Amino acid sequence: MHENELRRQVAELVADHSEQAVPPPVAAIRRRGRLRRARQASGVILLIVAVAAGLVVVQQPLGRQLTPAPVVTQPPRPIQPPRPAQPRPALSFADEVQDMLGTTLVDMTVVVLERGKVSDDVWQLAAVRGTGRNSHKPKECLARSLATLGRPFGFECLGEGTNRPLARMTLGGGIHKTPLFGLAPQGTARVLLRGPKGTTPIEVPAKTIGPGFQRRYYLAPWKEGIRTAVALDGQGHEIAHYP
Amino acid sequence: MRRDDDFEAFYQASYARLVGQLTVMTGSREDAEDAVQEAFARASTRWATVRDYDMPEAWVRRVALNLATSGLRRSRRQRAALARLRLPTTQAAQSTDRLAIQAGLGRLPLHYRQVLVLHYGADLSVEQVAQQLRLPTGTVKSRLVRARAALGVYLEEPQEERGYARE
Repeated sequence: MHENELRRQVAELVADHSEQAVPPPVAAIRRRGRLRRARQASGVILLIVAVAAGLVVVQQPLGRQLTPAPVVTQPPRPIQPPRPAQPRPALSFADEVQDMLGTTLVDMTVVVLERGKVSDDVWQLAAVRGTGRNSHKPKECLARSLATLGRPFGFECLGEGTNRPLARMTLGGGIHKTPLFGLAPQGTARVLLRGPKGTTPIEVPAKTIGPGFQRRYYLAPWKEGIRTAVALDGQGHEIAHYP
Repeated sequence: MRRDDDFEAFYQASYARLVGQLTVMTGSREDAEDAVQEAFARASTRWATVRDYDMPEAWVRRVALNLATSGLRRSRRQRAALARLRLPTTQAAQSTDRLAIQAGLGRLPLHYRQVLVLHYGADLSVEQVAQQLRLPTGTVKSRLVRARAALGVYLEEPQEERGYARE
């Protein structure tokens, strides 16, 4: 292939993928950066505290030996053991999800749904219900974390304020072969996940999220090429689809 | 322009382009988006420094490349990612040439794909590619030649053996 033709083809390929990329809100990116920096800082503080506590423990017996006998008539006051500084408790997954979505939602309810491990990756999934900060309308989201990538977050929301009113369900996940998941309408009994022609579809049950949530969710093992999802009611009728 | 606005404008202008480049390199849009988002997150916390670089986008791309590369190595799933590259099931219909290029790129080693995408896809000069990858210029040139030769071999093979879906 001629070099110019190769240049054109590769550039068009890159452009194709670029057109499909939708940047998440810049606030979410900034928050992710701040969280990362906070984690780094807390790690350093914990290290310093651990070193300091270790030094105190090592020095304490020496200090007792070197202390001369008191000459005062008052009884010596009991030596108070040093009180180690309390490390700041680590944020739970639910807290981190709430923190992440803080720029998008208010009055949030977070329900941690699933947690698992695939190879070296620990993944977690949570559902969030809240009110859109701008739209003031209820929204429901699924958020995920992946521990080995430094806890990056991804989330997808549906609600009255969504800019994709026809998309009544979502399909996400699958990074590093972690499970696929998504939101589905309340009446969904099963979800059918389809890949390219010729491959066997996966069918998984839809599960209840919790009180107050208007949607259900589904979770399926990772399978290459899955790109569409269909929500079926109890009679097997299609009630929603993605995309 | 305020510093925050400055970053947002840079982010909006560069995000999609970098995701496109990383997707072709890694074979996975999810991995590419994760790496690019993480790189922008890091840029946001040190924007006062990064904004003064000659090419802030090159810095973000370098970080994203490192993240994507280490992610690929760590998880040992490069083959799966390459296979995904050959299955553009969500994309609009593409020409057979484009599919062939995509499939051929998917069979190249990562270091060949990097130089091809940066040179032809991101339109960087050989010197800029060398600077981006921290490699000698001669290495970049030889990789480009070998990558094109390897791609040429793949493109001449029968399409049925390339392993991408044709709808």
